[in-house]
Amino acid sequence: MNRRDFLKLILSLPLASVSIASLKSSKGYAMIIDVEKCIGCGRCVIACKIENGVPLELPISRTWIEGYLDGKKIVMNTKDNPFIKIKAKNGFFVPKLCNHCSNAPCVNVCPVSARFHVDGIVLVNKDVCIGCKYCIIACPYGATFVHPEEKVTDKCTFCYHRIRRGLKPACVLVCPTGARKFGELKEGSEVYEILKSKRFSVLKPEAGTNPRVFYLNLDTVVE
Amino acid sequence: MKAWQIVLIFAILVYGALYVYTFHLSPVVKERSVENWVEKEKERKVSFVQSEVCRECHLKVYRTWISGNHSSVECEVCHGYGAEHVKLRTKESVIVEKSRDSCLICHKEIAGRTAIKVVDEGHGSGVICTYCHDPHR
Repeated sequence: MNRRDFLKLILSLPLASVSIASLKSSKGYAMIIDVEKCIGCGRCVIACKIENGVPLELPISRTWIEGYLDGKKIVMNTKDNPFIKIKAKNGFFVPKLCNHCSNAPCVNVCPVSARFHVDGIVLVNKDVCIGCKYCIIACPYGATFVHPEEKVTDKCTFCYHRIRRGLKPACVLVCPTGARKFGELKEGSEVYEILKSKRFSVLKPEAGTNPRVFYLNLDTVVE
Repeated sequence: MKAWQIVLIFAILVYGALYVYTFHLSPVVKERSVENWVEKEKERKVSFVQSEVCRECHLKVYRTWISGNHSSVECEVCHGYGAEHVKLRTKESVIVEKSRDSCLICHKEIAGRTAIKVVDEGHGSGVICTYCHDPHR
């Protein structure tokens, strides 16, 4: 091996590892949210907070609902539901959570490699996280926050402890209208069939993050 | 072999050993490894059990619920998370709300609520919903 070949090999190593990583993350879990079915009851927010030990009163949450009522954005991220007090003529609700991007900015910016992909899910290694909040700045969806008790960053894990036991994620379980669907992205699964047959969109496609949360009937661009 | 070569080899060996130890072998790194965290994440306790667990004891109500209009609404949506109730099996560990507000969280008529049947606030005003409607149906 001469010097030129050696340099080529050295340069191609990081590229090779990136392509393998993206291949791996193209399979795995995905969530579909039907915006038309969401009624803004906020059960998912409360269930998520209870399941994952996020304080109910504080305005931080792993999943939250954005209500666009008469063009005004109202966010529900505590246990109180603001939507039922507001009198509006028209509107819609968009539940949001971590998009579990295949090309995740939070994974890329983490200086201590505390964030990583497992089955397409982005997890935070809280033993390693130093709470520098770079990921909060990097995330285009605002899905990451600092846990007030643990003092490290926290975010949606697709309820990894539940899906490993064969249960549904807490927000999917409690959704009374079935607006949230969750499953493995493989041939024959419910999620796969929906994505194959319906028109879906993702949030902020211009960010180039390849999200794993897909939205149905989302005809307006939301922030 | 010259002296500086020996010193260089020795330095590389020491540096390599330290590098491998600090980033791969040291117990602190191993404890905080990705695999360990995934294990920890898996072991976390579950609060929301699913309706199959409720069925074990409340079969009669379960049968009414599964054949009714509310069958897509899991038990724990209205009754609160079940993990504690499964352990304690007392009336206090489960939520039984019969107030109008608890029904109106989903059924109040507000903008953007098109997926389910809604009522305005005047509907049966002053009477609790369960007086006429069976919530398990």
